[in-house]
Amino acid sequence: MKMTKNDYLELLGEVLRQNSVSGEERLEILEDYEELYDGYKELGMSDKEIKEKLGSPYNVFASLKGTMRYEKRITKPKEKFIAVSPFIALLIFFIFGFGYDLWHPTWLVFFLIPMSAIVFSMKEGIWSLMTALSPFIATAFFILFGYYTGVYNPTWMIFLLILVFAFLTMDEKRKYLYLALLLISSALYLWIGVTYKVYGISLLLFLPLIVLLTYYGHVEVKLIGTYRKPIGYVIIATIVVYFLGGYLYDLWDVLWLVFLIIPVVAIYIGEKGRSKYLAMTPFVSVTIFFLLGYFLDLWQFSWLAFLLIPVVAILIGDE
Amino acid sequence: MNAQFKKGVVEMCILKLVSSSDMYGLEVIEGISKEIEVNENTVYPILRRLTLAGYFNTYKEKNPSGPDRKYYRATKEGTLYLGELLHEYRAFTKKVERIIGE
Repeated sequence: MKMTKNDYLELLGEVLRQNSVSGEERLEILEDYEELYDGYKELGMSDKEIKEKLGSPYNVFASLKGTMRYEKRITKPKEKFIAVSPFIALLIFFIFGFGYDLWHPTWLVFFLIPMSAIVFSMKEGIWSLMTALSPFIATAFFILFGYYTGVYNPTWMIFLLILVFAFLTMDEKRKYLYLALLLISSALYLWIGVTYKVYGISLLLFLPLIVLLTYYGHVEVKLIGTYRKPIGYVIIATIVVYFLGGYLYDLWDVLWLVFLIIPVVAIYIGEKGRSKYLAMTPFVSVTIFFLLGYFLDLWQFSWLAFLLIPVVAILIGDE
Repeated sequence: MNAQFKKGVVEMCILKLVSSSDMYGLEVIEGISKEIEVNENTVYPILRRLTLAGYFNTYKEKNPSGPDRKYYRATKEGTLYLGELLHEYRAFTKKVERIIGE
């Protein structure tokens, strides 16, 4: 992507702001870099050449670290809660694991970490908040209910909750039509499934909703990232694998892991630099943790997979 | 060349250049990079550090072809500090020369 002088300075300002550099100093650095930028422009350099010469705003900040005064940052109680949430989760996990041998499904308590961060940092409305939380709520419900009742199908329908909240955040009036269609399709699917034990083919009941959403441009196979790889195909492939594996081999309770491939691929394609590997690590950790626990019953040890996250963070450094 | 050693030498060169005549940022960078391979992210932080330490003053000057330029001027402390650095550097290189010259 072409970066202009304004883009460059805007990003530099943002990097400095994120790192709590004081307002006065931020302004001073921005003025200095604007002067350098203009100086190189006068020498006939292109934006690309200037960016290469000055280095990325992240590198600029890294090189200036030792010369800056930082704003004193007040830690708010909610930030403290986010910071301690991993320890609370680990404590609960150990108490229920060692005390009651409930490593699984107590590991779900680790969802507290991203959930608390979402609750305390999101400034959007309640429906946006619920949309962000719904994947965790749905996964936790799916695993808990599935684990204690053995009924993973049609418990998977709880994931439709994500769609419900996503519809509610929409600005258009058609959202009520989508909601109604989703509720009717779900009710019919459940009724046919429970009464006639026909779950597979009755998935077609959701087709009208999919057609409608596609028609109005809400479902599309997007091409993202510089490699132009289609993330949409990955989503379709994971859904196919999940339902095939579920219906053919009754692997509902473990195959949900395939959905973690979606964010991993999205990160791999969309993120730049080595930091993308750090962003992928939580998904890899969850996969290792769950597979070792599920197949080898090593829940009391497999949590160590989560240590991969700080290890990778240290290895990658503050890029 | 060791990065820390190079930074120290570049700092001394910047002090020397600015003590000879007032200069704006890009002028310093160009002046240094004519002789030594350096980039902006080496020179600019040193300029800032020396200014914060009181070895340089800054002032703005009109630039007919763009925004105002910030000029750096060595203070009395800066000139004294340069003298110390040059003395240490010359004494040091003399010793090094004696060792590697044999």
